[in-house]
Amino acid sequence: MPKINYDYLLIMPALLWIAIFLIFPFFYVIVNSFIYKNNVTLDNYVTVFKTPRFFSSLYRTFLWTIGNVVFQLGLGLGLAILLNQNFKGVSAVRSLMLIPWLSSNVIVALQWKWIFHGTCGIATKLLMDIGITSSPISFFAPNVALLSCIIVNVWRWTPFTALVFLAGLQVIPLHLYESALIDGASVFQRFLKITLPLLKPIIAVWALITFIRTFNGFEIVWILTGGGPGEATLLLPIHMYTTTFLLGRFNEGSAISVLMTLMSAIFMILYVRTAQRSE
Amino acid sequence: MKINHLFKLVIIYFLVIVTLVILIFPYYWVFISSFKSTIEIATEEPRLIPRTFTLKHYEDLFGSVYKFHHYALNSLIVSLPVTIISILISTLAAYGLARGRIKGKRAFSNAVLLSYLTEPSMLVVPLFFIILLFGLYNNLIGLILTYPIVTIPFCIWMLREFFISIPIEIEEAALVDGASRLHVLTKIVLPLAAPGIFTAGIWSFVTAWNEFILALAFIAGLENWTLPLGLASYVAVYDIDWGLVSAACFLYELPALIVFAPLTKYFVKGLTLGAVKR
Repeated sequence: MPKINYDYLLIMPALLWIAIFLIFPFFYVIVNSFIYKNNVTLDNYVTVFKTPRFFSSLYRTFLWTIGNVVFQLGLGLGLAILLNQNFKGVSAVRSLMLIPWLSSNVIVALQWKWIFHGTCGIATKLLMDIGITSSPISFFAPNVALLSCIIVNVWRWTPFTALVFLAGLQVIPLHLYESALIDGASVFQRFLKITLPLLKPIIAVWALITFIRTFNGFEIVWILTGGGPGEATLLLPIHMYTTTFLLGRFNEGSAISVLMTLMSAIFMILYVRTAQRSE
Repeated sequence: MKINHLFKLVIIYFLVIVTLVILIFPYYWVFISSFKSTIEIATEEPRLIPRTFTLKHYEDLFGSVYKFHHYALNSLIVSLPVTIISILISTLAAYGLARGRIKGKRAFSNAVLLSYLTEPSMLVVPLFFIILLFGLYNNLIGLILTYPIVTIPFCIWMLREFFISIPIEIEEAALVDGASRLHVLTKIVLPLAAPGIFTAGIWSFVTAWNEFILALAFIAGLENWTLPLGLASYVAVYDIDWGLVSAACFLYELPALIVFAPLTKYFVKGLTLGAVKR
């Protein structure tokens, strides 16, 4: 009697779910992006590229993404080194770092919308008390709104980034530092010659994950500003959402969605490659 | 040398305290704002210690206008089935990936990895067509069916690590004794992987509880709103009642943080390594 391999049954449900709710929808939306008024056409893409908002929002999305990646990784690395020191209560502090990550994007955005409130907000008041500014700051004025959104997103993700880097720091063998110390290497040299090179694979992978997540980020900015004022914080995902669901232009929205996914796909493939190499 | 050491310690504590203040302050601010009277919030300078105390915002929240409890119930109706579906599907798949003799394992694990990187905003338009196709627009079932695609990939990833860490000898011994694969899974592996499965379940629940963009696109009528949609609607008016919004934020976060507090140890290890390692 031939033995049936039941192992395939184990992955079958997951495979089905991915096929129905991931692969099929993506095919569907790609097909849909080439259809306009029952014709197969490139019209939707032409419309997308003719809309100045597409390119301005794309440019803004890159600013937003790069700002986020730089600050999250930079501050996260610093914080990870701090959390890697020996002090009382270090494990409790590490656990607390999970709180912003556990919070819903909606809550994070609401909290900061309130803190950054123009007239009754505490941020303006505290900054005036310290003497950094003499007049109230409107954090969501056109010229600074995107920066404010970046600050909020950086606040949300930096602690978790620090934990990821910390996990990497903890597997660096201590004797490397000890022998460097004997050789008389300074703190700075030890960081450059030991910490950074050994942490590089994790930093690279996490930079890609952060890039993909931020590039497609929607919720925080949507709640904070809704893309405004004007178009000051209109990111690509918000442009896609409003075009599709608020203006009801489904074909054009499909085209934007396909383009957005394609651009992310470059980084996703890079990620899979990097992850495989570090295996 | 000693003074040098002391100096270092002072700097460390200073930085830790600054970090914690920045981390905790938003929660503190929302917490105390939820007890301030609307008049204090709107007309007085913001104070770190409130001058007035009221529970009115919490009463309003559960009234007929803001219906916090109604939205919370909807969120629960969605999140619980999503959690169960996610656990079932990802436990099986993760075990298959860790131990099964499957052709194309690498392709499957790459597919899982790619879906883990897929953000909900990439999915919203494609899934919208599926929702329409199934006739599930403005229906909570639509959310129950679509949310697992957000939760499953990460759960598979995390659980696979758990299964791999279980010594394979235990399973092989049982298989040699003639036990079936299913028997080995249910009687030997699952009890050992219970902490991991539990963590994956909690994570799925919180992810479903927090999910926003899919609900925003797929749910139209406010009788079907989930909690994040309800909360977003509180600030979608011209005259925002920040005391009320603060109360809503506090109540929304409380259950998640209570459930999570004892689990943070697992999370710090399981999630952070799982997030970058394969």
